[in-house]
Amino acid sequence: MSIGKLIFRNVIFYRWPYLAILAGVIVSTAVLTGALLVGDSVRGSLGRLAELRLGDTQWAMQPGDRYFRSALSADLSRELEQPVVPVMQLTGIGVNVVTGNRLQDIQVVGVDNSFSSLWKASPVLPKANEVIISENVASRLALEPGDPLLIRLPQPGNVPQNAPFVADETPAASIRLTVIAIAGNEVMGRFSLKSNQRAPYNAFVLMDQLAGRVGLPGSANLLLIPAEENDELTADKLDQALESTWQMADAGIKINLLDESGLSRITTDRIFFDDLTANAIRTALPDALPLFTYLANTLTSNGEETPYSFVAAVDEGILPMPLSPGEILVTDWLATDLGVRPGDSLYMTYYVMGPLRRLNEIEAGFTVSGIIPLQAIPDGKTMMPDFPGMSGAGNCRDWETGAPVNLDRIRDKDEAYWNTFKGTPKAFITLEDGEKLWDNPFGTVTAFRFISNPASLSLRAQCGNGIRNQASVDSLIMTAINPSWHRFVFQHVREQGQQAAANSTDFGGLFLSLSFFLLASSLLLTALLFSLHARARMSETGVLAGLGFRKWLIMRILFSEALLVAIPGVILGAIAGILYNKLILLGLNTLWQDAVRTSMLRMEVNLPSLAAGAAVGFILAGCVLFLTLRRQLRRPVTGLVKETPRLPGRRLQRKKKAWMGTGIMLVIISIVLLVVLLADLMVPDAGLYLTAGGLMMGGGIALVYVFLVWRSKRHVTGHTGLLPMIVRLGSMKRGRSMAAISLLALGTFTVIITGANRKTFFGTERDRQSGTGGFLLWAETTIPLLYDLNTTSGKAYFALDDELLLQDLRYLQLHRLDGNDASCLNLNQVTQPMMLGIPGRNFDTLGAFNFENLLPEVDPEHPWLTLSQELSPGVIPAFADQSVITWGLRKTVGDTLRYLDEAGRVLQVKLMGGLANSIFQGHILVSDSLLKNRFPSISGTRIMLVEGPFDHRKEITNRLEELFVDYGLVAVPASERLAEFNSVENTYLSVFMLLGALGVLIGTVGFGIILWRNNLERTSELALYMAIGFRKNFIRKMLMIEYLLILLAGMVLGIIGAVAGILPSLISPAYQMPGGFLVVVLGMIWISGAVWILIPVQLLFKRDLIQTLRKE
Amino acid sequence: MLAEFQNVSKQYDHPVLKEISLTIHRGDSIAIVGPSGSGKSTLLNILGTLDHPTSGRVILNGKAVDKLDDNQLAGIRNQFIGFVFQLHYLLPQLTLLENTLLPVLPVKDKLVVKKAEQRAYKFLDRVGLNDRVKHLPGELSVGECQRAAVVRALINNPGLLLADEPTGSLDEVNTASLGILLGELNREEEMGMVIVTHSMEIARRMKVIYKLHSGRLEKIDQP
Repeated sequence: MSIGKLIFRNVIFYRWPYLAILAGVIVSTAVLTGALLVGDSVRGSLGRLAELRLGDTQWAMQPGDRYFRSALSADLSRELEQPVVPVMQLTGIGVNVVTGNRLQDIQVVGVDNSFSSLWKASPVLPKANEVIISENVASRLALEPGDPLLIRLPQPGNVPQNAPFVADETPAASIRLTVIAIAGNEVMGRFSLKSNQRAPYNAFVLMDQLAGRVGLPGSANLLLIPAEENDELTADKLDQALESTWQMADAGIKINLLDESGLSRITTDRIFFDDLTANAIRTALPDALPLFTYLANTLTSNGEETPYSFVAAVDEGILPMPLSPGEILVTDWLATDLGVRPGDSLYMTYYVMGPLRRLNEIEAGFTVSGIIPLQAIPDGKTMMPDFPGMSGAGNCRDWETGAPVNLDRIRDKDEAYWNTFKGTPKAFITLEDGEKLWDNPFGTVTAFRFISNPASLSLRAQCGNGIRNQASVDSLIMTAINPSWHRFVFQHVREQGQQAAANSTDFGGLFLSLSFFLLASSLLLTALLFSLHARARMSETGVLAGLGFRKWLIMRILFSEALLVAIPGVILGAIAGILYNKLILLGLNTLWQDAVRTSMLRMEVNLPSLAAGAAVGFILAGCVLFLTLRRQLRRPVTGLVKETPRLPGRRLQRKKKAWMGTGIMLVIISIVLLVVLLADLMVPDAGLYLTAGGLMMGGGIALVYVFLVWRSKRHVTGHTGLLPMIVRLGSMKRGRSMAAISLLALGTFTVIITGANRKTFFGTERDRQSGTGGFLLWAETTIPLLYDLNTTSGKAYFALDDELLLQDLRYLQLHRLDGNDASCLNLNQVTQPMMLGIPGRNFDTLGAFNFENLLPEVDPEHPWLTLSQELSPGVIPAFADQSVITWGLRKTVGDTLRYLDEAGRVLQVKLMGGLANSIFQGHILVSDSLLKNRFPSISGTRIMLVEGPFDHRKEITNRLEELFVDYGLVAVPASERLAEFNSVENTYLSVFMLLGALGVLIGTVGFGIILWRNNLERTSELALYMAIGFRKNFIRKMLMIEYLLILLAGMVLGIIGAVAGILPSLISPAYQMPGGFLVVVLGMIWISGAVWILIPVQLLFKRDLIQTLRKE
Repeated sequence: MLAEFQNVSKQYDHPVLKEISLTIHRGDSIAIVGPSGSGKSTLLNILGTLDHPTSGRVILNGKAVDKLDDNQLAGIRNQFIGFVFQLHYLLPQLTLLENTLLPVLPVKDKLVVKKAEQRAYKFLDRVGLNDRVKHLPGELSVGECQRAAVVRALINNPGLLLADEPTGSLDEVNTASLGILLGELNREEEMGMVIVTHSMEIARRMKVIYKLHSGRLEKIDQP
């Protein structure tokens, strides 16, 4: 017989204990492998979702609110020899016209036939008056093919809606369409360029119809390039293609020949040339003269006034008369109206438009330098920019300026002037003065003028020396400006999507930690079973030792047996891991959907993960088995043959003293730590409280051991009561009792800590320092609000002034730069999250919100004020929720995010601090003024925080939603928003609790096995009780009490440790213990433990105990 | 000289063995008797290298065992000592033959194994178990198992046979039978033999009887 054969025979002979060990190995390997596979599955599913939302899209150019010719796609396509798909994408509100139900934030995607090239299966595409909706839109609005759908849209356009004197025409457009199909998830339904696993609400319409309806016929705002088989596109290649194909119209620049003399002007669709473009044109065309025309409210001199007049700031050369700073040149019409002469003083009032159309009227004084005849002004009518709502007006009373116009002030001669001369400026100042007075974020040039006709020598003298034709001017301008300034930049969205998915929340690691207790329990169970098995075979190993087998050989035999079992264990465990993964995914797709916000997670089994799980499971099981065996074989050889005599008294005493010292020390350290933390002598930290709790529990376990030693050695004289006798009997098998107590204590501790740490904020929602900032509501609109709701004019505009219910409300409107959601609701890694403009001074005054982490350079007393100043050119400070920084961005405080601003310049956003859990989760918070400075075109606000009485929250919410129904306003209590974020963490805690409870269940199985083994070893003792006349029920009662005391000791120690661990929460008035929940969980542990006590006790009495005694 | 105890003492909570000196030669057969707890098994365990003395020296086959490491001690137990325990401790998963051959399991030399097999058959025949070689211990009586345990102890042809209460679990008939067997083996195999026993029936079959009392050995004259 060989050793191998002996090992094999042993495994077969001891098949039942080894089957139990096999089960332990299967569970631990399944947990490990399953957790790794969950990581793969989530990553794989997110990758798949990225594929679903992008189709075949590889590259995308999305310049935000810049619109370009849809024909640019065809030009690019020719240049690249590859399909380029134009899209117009807007955000709208969907209305079921039959039920009146509304759905905000619908992505309205205008497509043409080329859109089908993005999808493998050719989708049905909409024709005129048709719409295809995604499944979630159909479900939310209860729509079926054939049903009508009304879509309300904001009025987009190239002119920023918050630019000076732009009419506020929102909301403008509605389209009534017929639903012809519902797009599934596989084709088009999830189309989106945002990295998010949540399905967008999509409505696909005909691009031409959409563009025409919103007043931008032939335009698009998104270009998509599908993947090609021989994909050789690079960002540089695309940039070059763009530079060679884009046209003046794409840049929104126009050149008009104004008259036969050759006078031409360059204007922009955005009314104001941004600084980069203006400077580029100045450099490329030094002879093109800039012009900045503005509306003055009043021109006053000599007690006379002229209302609503255009004044132009001009560069030298545009006018035939000289002009110096501080001087004003007036037309003969104005000179007559005001009765001014050269040398007189003239005052001008004008509006400066602040955020949310807050108007400041400013006055400036000038000296009249001269009087110019209206006829001498070269093409004066075209000096006024094409302000929407003004330039096309038939008379002054029809003006829609976006600024208040007092119609009573308009005189007949003003109307007559408008009829004859339109927007011809009535006065001129220097460009330098104009830039100073009317400075705004959009630019300080409204037009350039130049001569394009060489024949007109007189005008050449007046307008500069350059003589050009229009084509050469086009070419010069297009060479000078760069598409990136208009955010015409292609991004590899597929790569970004895949990276966002690949770097998504690590569910493998997450579930490994969530399954920690389950893993630990199964490993402990394996160790326990093997230890019991090894002990049962102690006499066998003793005989082998007695026969001269070396210890390592005995160990080799036993360890090989264990490994022989572990190998099929890990194979079966890996297979069971697939099942575990499937169960977890089922949970995530259904019960725990709060954590992942999708039901589209699919199982993905990667061989490397499967192998890694099995390998790690094998190593872990091997280590556990080896260590258990080594511990067993460490006993002296004589002890292997016969039960070792108990430790000699002195050694036991030394051991007892060591345990007592350790126990007392741990408890004292724990108490001192708690006192120090509670007295604020140290920075409070949840981890330190938890440590204190753990130490308390550990100390308690050590002291229980000391108690058992004391009871077992106590010399009892005379009769003792039943309970002391039971404790004494139980103390004889201290090792096993302590194993059971430790297991139960750890399980109880974990479950309570987890359950008690569920995030709640009952009673704190009104606190400024809480995550709600003390705000009543968080409201979002689909269509931006352009006015300040706190002003009289704003209230009047939105008809809030008569609302008694809303009288005491204060609104904090926040500008938002669109981007990806970086909150815990998005599993993908986000690189450019949404940015919110925050009025830092306002928050500082309120003392709102609370910080978890701040850089040393931030004043902890006034952290919000840090946001107001740029840190260095191009670097602005920012805050974000700590959880966003850590999990959403995978960054730390002090790190920097990179954005491109509206002009295509790099903007670095430095994270200066992390907020404690707040309603801003998902956003980066920066100064509102710095945000507006870098992104001036952000039109209006879509987010607002509402302050007001909490008593009428529901009524206020309903009324606000009614009043702003056309803006698609959705208001939620700030606490509810916070609860939604908390629900993610709470879901994870629920998962942890469930898996922890499973671990405890396995622990109680181990507890049952310990007791069963105990009973077996005590058979003679129990038989003796029967022999001396104890009734079965009495013996059963003795055993039950003994074992229930162990259960109780374990649970009480766990509870004490946990209470210490959550002390700060318990003493906080804001904290509400989920008591009922914990009672249920603890009750379940107690019941489970009791069941596992009852089973072995019942099994014991099925045997004939007296017979056992007789045999002995 | 097979073995020698030189002033061997052993102490747990209290002294168990006190400066015991004893010499065992080839062909010696010694019985050690004494009340329970007197330290008989401790003495035997020390002699069998399963335990260490607190003081004093043990010399086996000319080597002082306190100089040897665990592996060398295991080698001595395997090659020089045969041990018979109070219970037979046959492995229930192995046949009688396999159990008796267990001590040669670590041996790789096929010739040695072959010879051991021949010895096993010879001794099993000698103890009347030649027709039970393929039986599992569970199919045999306690007496048969204990006889097989004796064969297992002899399989490596040890110089010294140690038996700790070998008849403790046997009835009178089996006790007598085992006593005769051990006596005959002592004579036939020329080995040293030390038996710890309560049974005077067994003790009387040994050449020398010692009583262990208060930690010291006292020689008892044979009746």
